[in-house]
Amino acid sequence: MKWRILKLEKNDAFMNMAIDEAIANAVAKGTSSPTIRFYEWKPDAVSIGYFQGMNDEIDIDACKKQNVDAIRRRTGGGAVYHDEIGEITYSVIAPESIMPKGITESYHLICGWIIDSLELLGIKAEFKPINDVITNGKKISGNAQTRRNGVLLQHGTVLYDVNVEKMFSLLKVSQEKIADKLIEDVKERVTSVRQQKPKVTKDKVYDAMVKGFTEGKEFDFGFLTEEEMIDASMLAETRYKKEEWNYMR
Amino acid sequence: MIGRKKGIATEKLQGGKLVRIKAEFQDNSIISIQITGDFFIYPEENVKELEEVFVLKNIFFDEKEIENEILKIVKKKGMTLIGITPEAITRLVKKAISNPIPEEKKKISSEEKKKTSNKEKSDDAR
Repeated sequence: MKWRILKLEKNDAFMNMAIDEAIANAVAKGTSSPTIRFYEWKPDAVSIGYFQGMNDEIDIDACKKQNVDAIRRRTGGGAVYHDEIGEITYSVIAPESIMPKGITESYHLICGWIIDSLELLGIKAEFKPINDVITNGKKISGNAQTRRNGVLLQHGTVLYDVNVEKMFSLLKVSQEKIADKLIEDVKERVTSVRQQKPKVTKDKVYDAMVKGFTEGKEFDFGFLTEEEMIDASMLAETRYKKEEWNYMR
Repeated sequence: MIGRKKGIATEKLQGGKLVRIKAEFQDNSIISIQITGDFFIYPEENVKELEEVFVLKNIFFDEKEIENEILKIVKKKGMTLIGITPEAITRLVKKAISNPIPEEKKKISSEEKKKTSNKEKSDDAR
């Protein structure tokens, strides 16, 4: 099966999530090939997992003040700060029939492509179930997967440069109240490509991800179809920008 | 609404996922519950079916009985739960109900919210 690769592009949070869903719809219909997509977020955004409460996780006032979009994903998992500069996001959208049946196995497979990408940058990483990739015991990539209509959609981020202070001005964390202590704690648990390899540029990370994700696959670089673009615009307006969706919990 | 109570219970489960249950109840009857957190349930929308199990149940429900009811739905709907279990859901609903947010505290906290900064607000809510 030939994969379609969509090159790195920037969108706002609403279009980013809508495009992932539009591709999944097209793959389900058989009108698009299995797809690997790379993207960034402009403006910066926070996304929450399907089951999370927006006001439990996100300081909405802080987001508004800093022009940060807040959105609910279709996938479960936790709240993520998507820094325009500090990360590269990917999505893998493919028929379930060509992916491992087990959820953990399919996380393991796709996270393996991230591990291969990091290896090309000289970073040794490993899969940490349920849905993380870690290096030296610290998280460098978070991932989330859903399956609908026979299609697997997994998206995730590779941290290039973490701005922990900004992240914590936007995300609420329930356990602790002392912000400084919490930030120190997160610095111990989260890392980034730049922390591991200070000289590596973001372009190099992207190149490594393209190689790591496509290794051994038959693929073409492609574009969104007109059908996907129309569907994505519709989904952005009718779902992802709507308060009924974002504040559902 | 008079007599309506709310309770919240939060726990980080083994495996690292956080589950937060919000329960609303009146007299001895559960009005609604919400299962939130960073776990995974497939298909996602079916979480509503699990929440509905508790609606109109007596607050002194038998945990084992409800757990079995959830398990039946999970099986019937072909659901997969990762990072969350029927046992944890049931136990935390019970805990949320047994720790209702006092009316007085709710009132004070809403007054405080008007006065305090955003950061303090979020700390207070936790």
